[in-house]
Amino acid sequence: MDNRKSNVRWSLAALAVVVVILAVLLVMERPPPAIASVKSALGLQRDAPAGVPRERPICTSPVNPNVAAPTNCIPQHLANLPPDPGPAGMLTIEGIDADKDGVRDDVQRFIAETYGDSQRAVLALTGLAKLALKEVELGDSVSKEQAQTLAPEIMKAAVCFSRSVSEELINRRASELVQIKVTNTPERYERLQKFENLLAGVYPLNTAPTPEVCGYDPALLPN
Amino acid sequence: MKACIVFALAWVWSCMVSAETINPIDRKLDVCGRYEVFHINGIDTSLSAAALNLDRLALAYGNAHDGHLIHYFVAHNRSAGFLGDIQQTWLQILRDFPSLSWEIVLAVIKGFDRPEMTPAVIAEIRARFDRLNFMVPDASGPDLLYMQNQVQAYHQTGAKVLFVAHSQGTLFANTLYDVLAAGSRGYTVPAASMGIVSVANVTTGVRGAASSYVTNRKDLFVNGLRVFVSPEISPWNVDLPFTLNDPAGHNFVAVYLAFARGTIVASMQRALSQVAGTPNPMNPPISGRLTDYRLYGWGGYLDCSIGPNRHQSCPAIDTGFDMPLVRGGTAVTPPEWRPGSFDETVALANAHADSCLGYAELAWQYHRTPSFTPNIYGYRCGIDGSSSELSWIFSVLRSADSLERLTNSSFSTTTGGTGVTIRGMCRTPSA
Repeated sequence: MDNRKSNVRWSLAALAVVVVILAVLLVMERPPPAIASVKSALGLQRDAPAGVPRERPICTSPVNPNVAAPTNCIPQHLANLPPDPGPAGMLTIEGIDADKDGVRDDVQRFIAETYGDSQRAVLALTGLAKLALKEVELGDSVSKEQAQTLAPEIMKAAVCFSRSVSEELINRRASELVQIKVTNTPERYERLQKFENLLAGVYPLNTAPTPEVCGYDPALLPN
Repeated sequence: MKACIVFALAWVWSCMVSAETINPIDRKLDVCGRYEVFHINGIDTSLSAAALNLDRLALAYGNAHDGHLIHYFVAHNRSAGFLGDIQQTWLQILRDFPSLSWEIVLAVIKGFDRPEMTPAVIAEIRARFDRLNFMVPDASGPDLLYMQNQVQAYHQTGAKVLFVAHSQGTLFANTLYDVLAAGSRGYTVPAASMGIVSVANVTTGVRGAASSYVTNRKDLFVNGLRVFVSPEISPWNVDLPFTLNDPAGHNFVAVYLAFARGTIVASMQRALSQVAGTPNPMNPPISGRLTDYRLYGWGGYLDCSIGPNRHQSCPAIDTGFDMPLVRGGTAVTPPEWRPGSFDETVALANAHADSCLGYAELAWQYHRTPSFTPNIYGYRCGIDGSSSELSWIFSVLRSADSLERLTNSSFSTTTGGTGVTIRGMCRTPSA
């Protein structure tokens, strides 16, 4: 009798282990959006190539990528993104900006896929990214005086980010990760560093109200 | 367990340390004391990252000290020499680890762990860049001279100065302190007026009696410097929890402000309270009826409704009340108390004031009517009628407590007839 009970226990335990393994495999096969975003951002997973029609409609309401993935629609923050430029986007300093929105496509996709659940984060990080891209574009082709005319805008973008997103996001160093994405080749990194050297100087902190600093009111955004 | 309790208590305390944040319209005036905080970043820190550091610091500390608004600045120093070295190291890494992309390596250098690499590879990559992280900036050469000039451009004589430096920025802070205190480059800030709070201190000590530092026990950069550069570097004094946001334990925001906020704020409070301001040279004594005070205010009174450019649209100027004509700058002798027009007041101020500071930080009069009609006009440094100026005036006048507070601290009131005149002024040290 005892042996039979013991066998049942062992069988149940083995079954539980199998279930857990299967669940893990399922999660790996269909990762939650947050993981998918990271994998995609790291270039480990490519989206469908450009031109391929999307099979699902765009979700009518915002979707948090940190919760259950929608199965019947494409999250708004991932809709209408330009295609991943892949290695071709690394060939030149300026990279590829297919949708001509002023932000390199790989940077735009990284922000949307990683922080797309927060409109405040996307707007603030895009503002920082645009200026970092400008720094990369200019490098040391301008004078110190010309470079420093950009400093107040950089200060404002950083302050806007600081005041409009969650502390948790700030502590995750989202702004640094975006800058790493912007400088994702040695040449781009070098140009940003050269521009930063021109920026050496003292600048006052912008203490204007947040809407004035940002150029929009983050509090009016839904998330 | 003991360490956990200590950390929990420290965390609770850090949450309870309340920054001083005031409504700017309730601020005391700069001429009565001014506080300047300069954040000096460490190596390989972009301006946007330094600005983020500063804004988070300002949010943690608050916008004021002792009722004065703090003037916050980034002193962004360049990482000269860093770029060339990092590229050489990168090329070698590319040869040894051809599968690694620059982006991934850069992330690892900046303290992020990446899933593409094993801990051993991460350690190997970081070790190769260690010598860059341990670079000592030239804090005495042209970079220092440039930074000193920039600091001077924003510094106002008599202000109390606090350098909040991160990592290698402390080298600049110490050298700036020495140079400014000695006046060796033709510009002096008294040593007693300066303090340093060093975060992730990489020096053997910070200058100034009011100064202090905060260094994490798990700060790998500082620990590395202590091993490879100098064992004399000041020892750690806080033990902060490990965080995946910065496994290196060094980041200004993600580590130090996240877990040692209370310690940093307390250090700043102590420093700002201990540094001494110096008498403002633009503080000429005024003879005559107001000898007890040195006045900085001047003002005009208009009897018309509030609004922008009201002196231009105002149908009539009421000259039926006394109007003080007091200024900082060249003297009006003797000081005048007489009826006058607003435009006349402006003209006098423009003629006699020689700077915004010497001008007048505050200038206004108040005329109280039975219905409390807010017939007040503020004029400050050439900026007329700002809403904040007017709001501040109202907030003062509507609150007897506030009025009393101001009277006791740095303002004086006189009452006469149907009106009350409140003049912005600072007591002299002897008053």
